[in-house]
Amino acid sequence: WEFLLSFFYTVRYPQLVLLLAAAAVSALDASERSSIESTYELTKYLEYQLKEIKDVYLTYLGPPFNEKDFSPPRPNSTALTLPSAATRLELWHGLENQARLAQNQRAYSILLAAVRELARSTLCPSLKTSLLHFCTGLDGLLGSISALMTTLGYALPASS
Amino acid sequence: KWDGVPMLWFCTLTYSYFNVSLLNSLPVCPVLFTVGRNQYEKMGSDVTMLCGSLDNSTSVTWKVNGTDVRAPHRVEGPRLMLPKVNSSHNGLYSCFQNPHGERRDSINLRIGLPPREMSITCRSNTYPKGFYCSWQEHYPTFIPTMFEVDVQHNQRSLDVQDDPVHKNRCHVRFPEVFSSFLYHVNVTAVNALGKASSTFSFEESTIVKPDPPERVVATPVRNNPRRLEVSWNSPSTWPDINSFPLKYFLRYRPLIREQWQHVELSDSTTHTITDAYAGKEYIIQVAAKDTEIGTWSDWSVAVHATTWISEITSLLKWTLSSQVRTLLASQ
Repeated sequence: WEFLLSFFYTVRYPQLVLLLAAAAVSALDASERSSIESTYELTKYLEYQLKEIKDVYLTYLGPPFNEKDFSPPRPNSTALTLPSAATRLELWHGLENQARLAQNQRAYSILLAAVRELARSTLCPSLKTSLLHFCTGLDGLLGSISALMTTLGYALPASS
Repeated sequence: KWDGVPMLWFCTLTYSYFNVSLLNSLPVCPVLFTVGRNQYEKMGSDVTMLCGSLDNSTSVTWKVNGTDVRAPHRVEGPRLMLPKVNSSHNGLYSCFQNPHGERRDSINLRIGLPPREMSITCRSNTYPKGFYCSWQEHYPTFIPTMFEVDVQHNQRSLDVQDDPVHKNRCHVRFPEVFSSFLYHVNVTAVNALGKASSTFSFEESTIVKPDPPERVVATPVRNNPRRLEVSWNSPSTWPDINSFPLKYFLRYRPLIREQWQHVELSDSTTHTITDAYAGKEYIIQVAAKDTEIGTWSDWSVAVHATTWISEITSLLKWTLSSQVRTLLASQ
């Protein structure tokens, strides 16, 4: 969960914030800027939602997962092929807007697939509903990012 | 690097002139420092000091800091025994061979304790550049203690820099950002009497805490007695304010009141207070936080400002208060 959350935060926050800053400086029109802003707000809302679901989910799992200081064993760096948000700062700084948005798109697609799988394997009905609701929001976010890329004239990444 | 009591020895260099050029490359006569060697012993233990490498039949006299040894002790041949030592036994012990009194040895006795567990904290006020860790010993050792720091991340050892000023602090650069792998810090305290290790683990985002905002300025607004204009700068240690914006928290109260008023602000570095009391002195502080992660900074230095008051009102107030004072004085 912490992985999912950190993934969420780390992909969303810097990429879109930077894009917002770029939008302020460059000659993007008002509708484009408002589109970026609302996409950013959506990610913040989804992060908040995910945090709430996380608490419910951990309670559902029971001990030791729901214990305050529980820290799950971290995946071995080579053992799992989970995507990581981690990057070298200079690489991240040097990204073009198109690459940034494409990375965001890809990251949230992976997150969506992961949460969908989580929802599928959850037995508790209310939790399942919450997770699926979250997936709907996430799907909406992917749509927003696609629309943004199209508006800015960027080619959409091939869907996997 | 000498560890002990320095004693000055001067060397004299004799050389013969071969030719004039030697005069230009005169070797500098080094001043040698030699030591009364250190002997570190544990508090409460029974200590034995041996005079040089003299054999057991030699008779010696011991002095501490130039005077006789007053603490309970026993002398056996070249050995001085001190039972159950404490810090009062600290001193420079010299032994002189009998009967002629040649000094044979000098021992600087230092009583101390082996290191014990420490508490470690880490903080990043320069996110995303790096972080620093500080540690605190709970129990003093009384003798020189050095620290070895090891930081692990994703099964790799990171490069650790000593702090030039603080002995109990070190600096590390983040090898990457947005990492979900934990950082593991291990500090080992080592001295002559033993060693002890403590560890601390954390996740990148949890240790982020900026320095407080700087150059906070509060000014009254002319003709507007309920307003105060406040402005500040982001902390100069925060390296990338554009990519990692900060949000701010402002608190203010009249000097005579205990209760603070709070305003949370986004990344703007100015704010106008609109509900201040006219003619009152206010105390104002600002704190900063990364917009997404970590914790709030400490409060900035407090600034004082008095709301604007018109000259007429001010004159009236002054006149009134001085009349009251005169009245009270005459009673």
